[in-house]
Amino acid sequence: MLDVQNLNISYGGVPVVKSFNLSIKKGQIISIVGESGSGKTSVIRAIFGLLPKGGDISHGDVLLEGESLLEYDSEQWENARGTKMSMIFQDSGAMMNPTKRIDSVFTEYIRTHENISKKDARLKVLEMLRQMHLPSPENVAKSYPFQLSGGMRQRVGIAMSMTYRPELLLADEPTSALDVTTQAQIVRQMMELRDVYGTSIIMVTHNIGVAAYMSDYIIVMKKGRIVDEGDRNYIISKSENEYTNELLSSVPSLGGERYV
Amino acid sequence: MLQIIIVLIGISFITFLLTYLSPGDPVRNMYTATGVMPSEEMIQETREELGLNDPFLQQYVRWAGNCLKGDFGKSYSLNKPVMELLSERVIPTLKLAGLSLIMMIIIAVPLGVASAIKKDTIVDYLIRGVTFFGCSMPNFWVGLLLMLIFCVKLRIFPVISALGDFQSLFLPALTLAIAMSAKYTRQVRTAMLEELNQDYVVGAIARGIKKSRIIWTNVFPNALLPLVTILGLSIGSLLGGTAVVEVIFSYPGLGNLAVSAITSSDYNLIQGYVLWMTLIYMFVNLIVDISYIYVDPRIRLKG
Amino acid sequence: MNKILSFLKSNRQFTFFLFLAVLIIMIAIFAPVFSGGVDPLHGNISDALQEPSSEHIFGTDKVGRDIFARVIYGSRASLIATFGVVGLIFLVGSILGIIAGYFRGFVDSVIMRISDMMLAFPGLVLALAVAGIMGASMRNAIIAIVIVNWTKYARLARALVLKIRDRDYVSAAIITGSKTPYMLIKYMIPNALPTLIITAATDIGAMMLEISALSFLGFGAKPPTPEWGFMLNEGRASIQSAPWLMIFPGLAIFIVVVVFNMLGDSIRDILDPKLK
Repeated sequence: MLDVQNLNISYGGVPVVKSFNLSIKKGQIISIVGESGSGKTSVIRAIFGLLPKGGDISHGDVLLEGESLLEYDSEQWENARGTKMSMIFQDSGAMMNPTKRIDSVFTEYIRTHENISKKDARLKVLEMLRQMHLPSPENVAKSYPFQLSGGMRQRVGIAMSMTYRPELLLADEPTSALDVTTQAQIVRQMMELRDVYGTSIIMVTHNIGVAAYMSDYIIVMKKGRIVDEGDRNYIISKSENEYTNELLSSVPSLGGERYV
Repeated sequence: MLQIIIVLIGISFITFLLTYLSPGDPVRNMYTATGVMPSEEMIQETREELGLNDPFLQQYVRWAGNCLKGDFGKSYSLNKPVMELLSERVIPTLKLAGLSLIMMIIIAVPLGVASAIKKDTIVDYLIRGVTFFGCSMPNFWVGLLLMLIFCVKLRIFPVISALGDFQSLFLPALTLAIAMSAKYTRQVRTAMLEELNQDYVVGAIARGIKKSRIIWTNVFPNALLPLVTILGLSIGSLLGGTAVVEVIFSYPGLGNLAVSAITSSDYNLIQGYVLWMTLIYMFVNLIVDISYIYVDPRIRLKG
Repeated sequence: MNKILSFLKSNRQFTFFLFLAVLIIMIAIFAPVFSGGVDPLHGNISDALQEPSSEHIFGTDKVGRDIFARVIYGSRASLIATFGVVGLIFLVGSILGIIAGYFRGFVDSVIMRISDMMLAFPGLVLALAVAGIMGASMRNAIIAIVIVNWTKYARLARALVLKIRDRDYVSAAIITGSKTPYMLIKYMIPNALPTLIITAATDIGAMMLEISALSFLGFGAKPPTPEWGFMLNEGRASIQSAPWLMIFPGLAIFIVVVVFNMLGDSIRDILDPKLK
């Protein structure tokens, strides 16, 4: 459904990503793995049309069901973002206005994409929060982002991004800021989304363990280039790529089994 | 609250000390003002009567105690209680300060926001250029120029704003507003740019929220929050500025009264003026602090 | 020499405004030359209140003195007072701030409490009172403005010193017994100086405005000395009949403040590009 073809990204003329290719099918989970500075975040930001100032796609194309996203005008983007495709960030709480309560941020989002009353929107918020297994959704809705724990904030972020059952979910280090137990819960919830709604997920992470646990297909990036890629089994057990194995060896293992 | 009391004690002490050390002799001034040539005996007698021969601290405590009771002494030059003179003049000055603040907000907020949203475009450069020049103009010169244009050439306003009605309030307030606007346009711009760089803006874009909505219902209100504090602090320079402007337009406010008090070495009146200004200033800042706690949930709830 | 030239070349904005600032200072120093030898203190009463003309390009005042000559000579009083104020607040504030930050404890609390109090007080109001009570003169106006403004430098210097004082190498030097004056000169002052200089440079314009405001109210320069703020005060009375009396001195203040503000900004940009 999404094809990234020969993508080149540069910041102020300095290339940071070179000839990146990716193709994802419905219901597939692909992870892009690499250290910071590998260009992985630039890739999904570019897909979502959210490159920071100075960033520029110098070459290549991003096609969503055959339609180029690079041709989108701001209105098309506003319609597509949050509905057809959504994004989860490392800290979803920081991506919400700190002076507004969760339900206010959430209803603002809902009422942008759907013409419903404030009251109905609020009901929808509670429904979505409940689906994310958040304890006492009413209290969460009444809270400010900074009053919630990292795990709760992340679940609120996922709840928001799933409101309109996007075909494509982009996740930028969704579990990196969390403790191990919470990481596992979030990972499971994201996989549930794929199983229930058939959402395709592209996840960026520096943690190859998480990637190996979740994904069908893994892309390894280093210094702006793809250095290795393949389905999960290939990457964790068959790849002879030096860098891939270096990343794998840094994952803590328990009793011979890789721990994720 | 405790801090206010400490500052008030400190300021009252300083003003009293200054008057105490000042070269002029209040008793002589008093007599000169009434047109009497006093003999040396008369002066000594009056000094004794007024307690001016007592030790400094005793004088200060007596004076401060009287101030607490609302008795700031008598103005030598105008021969009226200081309290009465000040309370007559305080409302016009507050009116002037208030109107100029409103005018400043009307000018500075749209300019600052436009400058931030259109950053690095011709609009931004133009606004920044104008504010730069605005910052470099002495406010009394601005006042005189406005007077020259509106009162002398166009004859829209009276030259002397002695009446205290809206017509006489307008130009003095505009003068103060112009000087402040230049500063605040920059502040609004900086605050807006800082807010526009926050992560939640990216988050809102990622949720598909319309740009205008992001700016007006999220970024803009948040950018105004820090400005509330700066506004409180600049009340100080505003109150000082009122003195200059009141003199230019012969406006019947506290500042004008103070300047004439200073010119005639009317120490009781000067002391009263300084204390009142401090009180007003600290009161405004207290309100600002409280309202800030109320409007920013991060401060209210984090404790 | 070549180094200086290439520095000036690569910082065009700075060079341009430095040139203008030097020009202004030159005008003040060589006022008799720039005014064409016209006496700013005496005029012919028969020439009173003349409009600007080729003979008196800025016109004359009510006793017939040439406004152009007075504006030129007025630069002396304004510049001396401004540099005096900036120099004094820089010195007093920095020294007190460095002392407070370095010694901390009791000295620090005393200095900072006084500075808190000054900060919590409307500046020009206090300056007015101080200048007024001490009697109207340029010296007292300068003292009044210094009293009101030194705190900013003290706070800044204190913060800068505190920042560096906590570094390991400084603590080590103190523990190993380096003498206090040595520590101050070797570490504290050089570290705090650049930021303080930037602040002083950007403050020149604002201080000039404050001084001229006091003069305008009659608490600064004494007649017949030409001073821009006071000239505006004199011109105010004849705004209807002779507006040139207030236009030119005000313009002079405006231009000089613009030049020094721009110069301050470009010094800041060179010394600390982060702040830009």
